[in-house]
Order: sequence, then C-alpha cells, then structure tokens
Amino acid sequence: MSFAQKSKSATVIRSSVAWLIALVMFFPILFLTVTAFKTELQAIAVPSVWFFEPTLENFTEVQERSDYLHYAWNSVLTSVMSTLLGLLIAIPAAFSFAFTPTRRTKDILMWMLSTKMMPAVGALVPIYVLSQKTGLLDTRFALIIIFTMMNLPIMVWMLYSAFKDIPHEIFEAARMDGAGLWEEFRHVLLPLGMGGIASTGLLCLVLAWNEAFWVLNLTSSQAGTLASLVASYSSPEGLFWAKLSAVSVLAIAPIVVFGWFSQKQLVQGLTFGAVK
Amino acid sequence: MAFLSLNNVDKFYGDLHAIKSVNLAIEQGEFVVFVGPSGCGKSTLLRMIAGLETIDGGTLMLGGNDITHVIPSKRDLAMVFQSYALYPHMSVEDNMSFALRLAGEDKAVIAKKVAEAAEKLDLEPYLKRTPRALSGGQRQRVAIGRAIVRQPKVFLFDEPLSNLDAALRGQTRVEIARLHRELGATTVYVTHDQVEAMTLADRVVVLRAGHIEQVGTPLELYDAPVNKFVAQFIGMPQMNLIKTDGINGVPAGAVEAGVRTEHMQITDEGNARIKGTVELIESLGNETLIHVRPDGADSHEMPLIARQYSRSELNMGARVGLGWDDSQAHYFNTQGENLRITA
Amino acid sequence: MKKQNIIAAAVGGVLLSSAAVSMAATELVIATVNNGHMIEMQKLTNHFEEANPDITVKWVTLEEGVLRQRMTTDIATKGGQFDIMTIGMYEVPIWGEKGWLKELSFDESYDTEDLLPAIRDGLSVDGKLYAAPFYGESSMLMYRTDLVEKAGMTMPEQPTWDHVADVAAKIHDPDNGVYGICLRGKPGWGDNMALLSTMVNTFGGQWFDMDWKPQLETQPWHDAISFYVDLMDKYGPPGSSGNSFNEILALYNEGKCGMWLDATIAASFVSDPSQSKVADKVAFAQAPTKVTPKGANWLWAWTLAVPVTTTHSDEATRFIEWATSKDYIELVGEELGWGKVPTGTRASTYENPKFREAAVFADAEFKAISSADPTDSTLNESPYVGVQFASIPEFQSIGIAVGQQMSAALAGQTSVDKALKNSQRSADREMRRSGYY
Repeated sequence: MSFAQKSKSATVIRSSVAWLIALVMFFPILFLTVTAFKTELQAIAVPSVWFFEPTLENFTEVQERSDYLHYAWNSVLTSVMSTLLGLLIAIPAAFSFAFTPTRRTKDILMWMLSTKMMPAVGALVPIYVLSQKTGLLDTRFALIIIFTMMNLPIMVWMLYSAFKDIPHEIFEAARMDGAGLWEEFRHVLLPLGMGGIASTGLLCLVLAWNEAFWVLNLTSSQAGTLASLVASYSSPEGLFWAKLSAVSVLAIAPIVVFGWFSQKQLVQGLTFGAVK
Repeated sequence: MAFLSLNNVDKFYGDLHAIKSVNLAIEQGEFVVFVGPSGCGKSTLLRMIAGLETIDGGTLMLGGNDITHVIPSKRDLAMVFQSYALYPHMSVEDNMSFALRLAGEDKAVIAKKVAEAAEKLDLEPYLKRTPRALSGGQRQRVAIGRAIVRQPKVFLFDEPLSNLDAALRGQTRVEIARLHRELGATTVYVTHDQVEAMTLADRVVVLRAGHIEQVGTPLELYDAPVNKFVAQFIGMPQMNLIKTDGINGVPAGAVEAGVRTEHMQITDEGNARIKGTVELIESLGNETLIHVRPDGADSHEMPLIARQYSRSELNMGARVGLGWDDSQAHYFNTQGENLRITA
Repeated sequence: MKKQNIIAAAVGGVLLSSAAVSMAATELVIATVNNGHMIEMQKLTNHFEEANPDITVKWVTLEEGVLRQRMTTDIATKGGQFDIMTIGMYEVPIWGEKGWLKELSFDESYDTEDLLPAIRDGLSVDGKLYAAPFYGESSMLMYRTDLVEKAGMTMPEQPTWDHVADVAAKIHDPDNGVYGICLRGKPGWGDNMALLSTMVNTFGGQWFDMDWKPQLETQPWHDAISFYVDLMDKYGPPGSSGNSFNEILALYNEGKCGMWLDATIAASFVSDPSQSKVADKVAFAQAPTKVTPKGANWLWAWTLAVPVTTTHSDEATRFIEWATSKDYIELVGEELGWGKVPTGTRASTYENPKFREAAVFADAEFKAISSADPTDSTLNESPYVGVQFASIPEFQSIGIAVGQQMSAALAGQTSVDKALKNSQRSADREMRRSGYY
C-alpha cells in the first residue's frame, strides 16, 4: 500500500469516526424534535415509530396553555444581561490576573474555580432567604445576578487563559507608547482578546439560557425562563412525552438558531486572536 | 548635570537584591550600552528606566525631573523590545503612528512623521501590511520606526538584534549606528554581545550580579579593565590569565597576570617565563591563534593563546616559550583588582 | 359647557372605576403540578375571573418533587410566594398540625357534607378542614378483557391475589409482547411503597404497631413482598424496578400489560381511545385481597390549601371554594365532557347520571374510594392515619429508604429477607431518633 493510499484511507476513517460521534451527540436532539411531532400514543411506542404523519397538535397545545413569549423574553433578558454583566466584571479581573500576577493569583483562581465544585443546592437556602428578604424572589434581576455569579468563575478562567496568550510585551509597548490603563484595555486587550471574549460570552449565554436549578427554585409566576416552562410539562400522572418534547424544542430553538448564526463570527474571532 | 541619571537605584525581588545601588549619569545624545552575562540585571535596569519595573530605592532623574515613580506612559521614552512587540492587529502604519494618535497629534503631522520614518527605514512598501506578513528584519525595522516617529527623550533598546540571524544582525547594527548619528538621540542599549557593545557605544556599562563593574568608552574598557571580570568579559578571544607563582618580575601582591592574546609572544624555550607545548593552531588567514599548554597545567585548564598577524611556521606538539611585555600586561590581586589601575 | 361637563364626568368616572378595579385586583399565585385535571382547571379559570373581576389568577406549574420542596421552603421562610398550594393527602394533616395552613370554612351552598367522608377526614385535624379535595383516587385493578377471555378465565369484581397470580400465569405471553401483570417497582414512598403498603395491608401487616415500633420483619411483610417479587419475576415486564405510574401507563396503553393495579385516575387514560390502543378492551375490578380486605386499596387526594403566609387568604379561599364545588364539576362536564370531571371527591358526582354514562370506571372507582378508610386500614390496630402511608413527618424518609430496599429485592440485587431486615433497621433508627420510643 502506498503512502498516499494509506493517508487517504486514514482520512476516510477519521471522517467516518467524526461523523459517527457527531451523530451520536446529535441523536437526542433529533429524537426530541421527531417526538415533538408525534401524538402521545406514538411517542410512547416501543420500538419507536419513525414514519408517521406529523402533527402540530403538541405545539398548538403548548401555545394555548402557556405564554411562550413571556418565558422566552425572560430567557433572553436574563441570559443576555447576565452575560454582559459577567463580562463587565470578568474582563478586568482576567486582565489583572493575566498581566499583573501576584503570589496569590493562582490561589485566587483556584478558589474561584473551587466554588463551582460545590453543588448549587448547597447554597440554595441562604440564597433563597437572601432573595426573599430583599424582595428579589421571582424577579429577573435576581436571576441575572445569580447567573452572573454562577458563570463568573468560568468566565474569568476562560478569559484568563485567552488573555495569557497575548504577549506581555505588547502591553508594555503600548505603555511605552503613552497608553494608560484604559487605552491598553481599549486598543490592545479588546481587539486582541476579542476571540476569547466572544467565545466566553457565547458559552455563558448558553449556560445561562439552559440554567434550570435556580430558575425552578427562585421563580414562580413572574420571572420564569423557558427552563421552567419545560419543567412545568412533566407530570406525575399522565402521558406527556410529546408535549414535553414540543415545549423543549421551542425552548432550545432560539439558542440553537443563535449558535448557528454566531458560529462564523466565533470561528473568525478565535482565529483573529492568533498572534505571531 | 547629566541628562539621565540613576542615583543609588535599587531593585528587590522578595529577598533577592537584584539591582544594588546603581549610580550612572548619561549625557544628552550619548549612546550607552549595558553589557553583562545573563542574569546580571542589565535588562532589569533598562526596564526600571522605562518604568516597566518599579524602582525600590534611589532616584531616577530625566532632564532635571525626578521620574522615579512616574508611570511609563508619562516618561516620554521609547523602547524597542527583543520580541519587537508589534501590535498584531494593526498595520505597519498604525503601529508606527499609535503613540502619536494616542497623544492626539494632528493627522497631517502624523502622516508626515510616519512617512519620514518609513523612508529612513525602507518601510514604504509595507505600510499597509500587518506585522504577520513581514520578515523578521522588517518587523525589527517597524519596531525601530515606532520608536523614532515619537521623537522621545531617550531610546531604550532591549537586546533588539538577538532574534535576527548573524548576517542581518551585522547589517542592522550598522543601521542603528547610522540612525543614532543622524538623530543624535540619547540611547540606552542592552546586549550580551560585546561586539555590539564595542561598535555602537559611546560608553559601555559592564554589569555583574546587579552592580556596575566599570563604565567607560569601549577602548578604556579594553585597555584598562578595572578588574579580572571586565578584563575577561571584553575581548575575543578572552584575555589570557596566568598564575604568577614561580614567575619572575611580577609586582608585589599580584596573583594572576592578564595578557591579551595579541600581546602574548611566542619565543624560544630558552629562558622564557613560561614553557609549553603547542596544542592547536587556528589559521584564520589574517591572523593566527596559537594554543599553548603550559608545562604542569591540568588538561581541563584553558590553554594560553597567542595571536599573530603573520603565518606561523610552528607545528602541533612543538615546544615553545611564552613571554610578554609588562607594560602591556595587567596584574590582578587576590580580589581580582587590576593593580595597575588601583595603584 | 354642559356637554363638556358630562364628558369630563364620564371620563373621570371611567378613570375612577378603572382605578378602583386595578387597585382592588388581587393576583392569586397558585402552585400546582401538571396533571390532567389541573390543566383543565387552568383552562377554566377565566370563568372564575369573570365572576370575580377583582381577582386574577397566575399558575406556577412545577414538577412534583420541586413543588413539595418549593412549598416547604416558602412556608418555612415565610416567603409568601404562593397564595394557594396543591398538596397531597399525606402533607395536609402534618402541615395542618404545624399551623402552616389556614383552616377552611365555606358557605352552606358548598355542602361540605357531600365530600366523601374518608377524604374529608384525611384532610382534617381535630375536626378542622385544612384543605379541599380537588380530585381523589383509590387503586383498582385494570385488566384486559380480551386476554382474560382468551385464557378461559374470569375476573370477579373482588379478586384475590392468588386468583390474580393464576390469571397472570395464563395470559403471560412475553413472546408476543404481553406480560401477565405490570406493577410499580420504582423506589419512592409515593411510588412502589404506595402499592406495597396496600399489599402488606391485605396480607395482614402494618407499618407500625401501637407502640410505633416498625413491623417490617413480621410474617405479613415477608409474605407480601415475597409474593410480589415472585409474581413480578414470573409474569412482570423486564425492568420493573424502574417503573412507576407513567412508565406502566405507556406500557399498558401500548397493549403490553395483561393487568395493572394502580391509581383509579389511570382508568380515564386507559379507556381513552385517543391515547390508548386497548381502550375498548379494559375492565376494572377492586384491588386484590389476601387475608383481609382492609387497606387493600389506597386513598389519595390532590388538594388545594391556603398557606398561612399569604396575604390574600380570603380571595384564595374563594378560589378554592369555586374549584372544588359541585358547580365546578358541572362546568367541566358541560365544557369539556363528563368523562373529564375530577372525581373521587364528592358523593354527588357519582350520583350524576351524565357522569355515570360517560365514565365506564365510575362504579368501580366509587366502590374503591368509599371502601378505603385511612383511620382503619390494617388488620391489627395501628396508631397512624393513612392507607398507603402513615401521616407522620418521618414517613417520607422511611418510605424512601424502604422503597429502595424493595426495588433492590425486585431487581434481584438482594434477597427479600435481607431487604426487610435493612428496612426494619433504618425505620427503627429513624423512629428512635424522633423520640417515638
């Protein structure tokens, strides 16, 4: 077998494996989407029905029963605002961690990450009581704060490693060129770190969008996001798979579409950061 | 009063005393080179002048102003980095004009200054490119261009040539010398390469372990090193060092004699000061280096080297004698001090 | 001039009245689960709002476990997030006793006497009613007439467990995807333990004796659990230890279960042709018995209660009065069909000819519910209230621990003896710690 043939078959194997993995990972979403167009009876059928007359009944029912736009708007508002607020805090923090490290920097970063190691439920009671005493229970404001806090460690870490790739001397050069802190930030950090900032922002947007634990525990009638809408379709007594699938599809649709469109910018942003 | 002066400047890294009470006065228009082995603190000292490292003790004066604690952006100095540190997201033009744009300079003035600098550095065809699309030498020139468009009070160079290949290094060295002549700007230049130091400097500052060993013109350092360290650091090949016990006619207190290779004379064995065997002959055309192993020397000791500007008739293994003229030799005491200078 | 005055007055009047309305409009927040009857209630809420323009209703639908936890935290921290809570029969007496719930008192026309006594008693502490039943349920046996007939068997109205085992053996046909009997196996005090408690009851056992000592290692427990594990081993579907109501409902509606003993609410699902493949082949019998009929079928109700933390208790009571009234049942019957009315709460529902005509399971369900008595559900006297649970706060954690042991025994991971021994030990520890003895 010649070298060329060998490398060609290696490519074929590699791409088949890649496709297989992609399909396996995509399968739950496909199944979910297909189920959304079934009747409840078809949804519970074993083995699964793959050829059937699709129905929009589940979507109609979801529309009738719940105010989708209200939840969607809450999701948009809380995830976008928390991401912006998070970036506002995390960018300066990561900037200082990456470029003026002290003896404690590593410890602080580890400590920040360690907060993610505690299960969220461990902080539920204090946070619940705090938000209740401050009258923030069931407000979007509370969710924005919580989402921000929740994502901050990840944001700081991601931005920290993104910023660390920017050579230190470029900032020093800017400093020598007469740049103050703000100019360094504006003319060096932001353009060079944009790839990292964009991917961090997108990830945190998705994380906030999909957050369910705090939403379920801290909201009731006003501030619920799509995650709480999805949860409300589970039932202790009765069949609900098709309707649950339909509402899930509606819940993830905006973020999937958003991810699809921002994909290009994201890749562009990531390669833009390549220095040297 | 000097233009740029360092008065008892200190730097600490925790318990490490990295820069030890350095005093130095630099005149306007002077080209000063810091040399020393790696870790001697030469780059640290430069970065302290730049403001990129804090000064933990002493004062730094520039043009009569105390700038010890002034932030870098307000010092009006320009620096060329070893890695060039160009802004990767800006074109060559924008890289060069960045400082002027930050200073709010008039657009027409900026364009004129950039054009001038680009012309001086042969960068005109590349103004619209990003640094990524340039060769190493071109990037180096952009870095220099970025410094000169600003017309700063002082230029700082931090080993600017170490990322270039040998040929380009020599060429750029000449270029820098020419620019300095043309601009007449005060320059502090850090290098570990003594050739750069000798060829570029008005004055050379030799640093070791955080303090200054000697300051002087290149020839002063060559001809009158204050101690064994400077004597050995300057000059290629290194100055010969000879233990003086058993050798006649050395000054009192001397433990070692230092003789530059060109002052080491090959003689007959006869009654020479040192006798030995020729170990290696390097014929470089214009000069010949004759390596002689003195009798009784260990094999791991450096051989003594004599430099001749004529072809040698000697063969390897020949027995020879070595001698020198005491007026051209340096004698060092136990502290390594040059007795001729200190006396 | 005059005209203008009139207009001004009119405008002012409109503004005033609208201000008055908006000032007085009270928003009731109701926490509930996503069960069919609750969904219908949400659809019909506009009738209540029309009749009570000063009240608007907001629904918060939560998963059952989350709902319990949210309601507990809300009351404990005096959150006041919910004005009405949907709670189960297990919690009502406990929460009522703790003073977490407002006592309910309704108009004469509400006819409290019409509420089924077993249910009403289960929701009262010291004669005070703390929750109103929205719908109630018992358990009954649902079976496939076609399969039983084909096997040449009959199903009496009140079968015994031995007969059920015989029928299961005859109709068990796993090669054709039909399993003799489907029963709950998923661990949980409201999941497998609801079923198993009723089995233990009819086998002559009980959770606690009169000294509150757990009785899990007694002969009736041993017999009942052994029988259950053996029956499911032989004639149950694979993976039974993961099945609860919804899983079995799916299996049953797919035609995979010959028999199913579960909540009476299932009757309306399995007989509904829009979701069941076997809707026309289902019949109903009472829950099987063994040594005693006592406690063979359970009693459960989803109820509406007013937490003391609300600031709108009057409006909340008004809503509950509406949602659990005879009129509401009438409204559901007329608007959505008589097959969909919430059952198991009022005697009058079962007397209604329209309902009897629409619901094939009406008689069986009524009989099951009226035969359940939470205060007397064990062969030997016991100190607790509740058929398939004991209405004490400790029961939840005991039920979960025992449920896990039973599920493990069903899955074959441990023996019945060992599972019961472990169960007894953990129940004993819990009761001792709580100071019962």
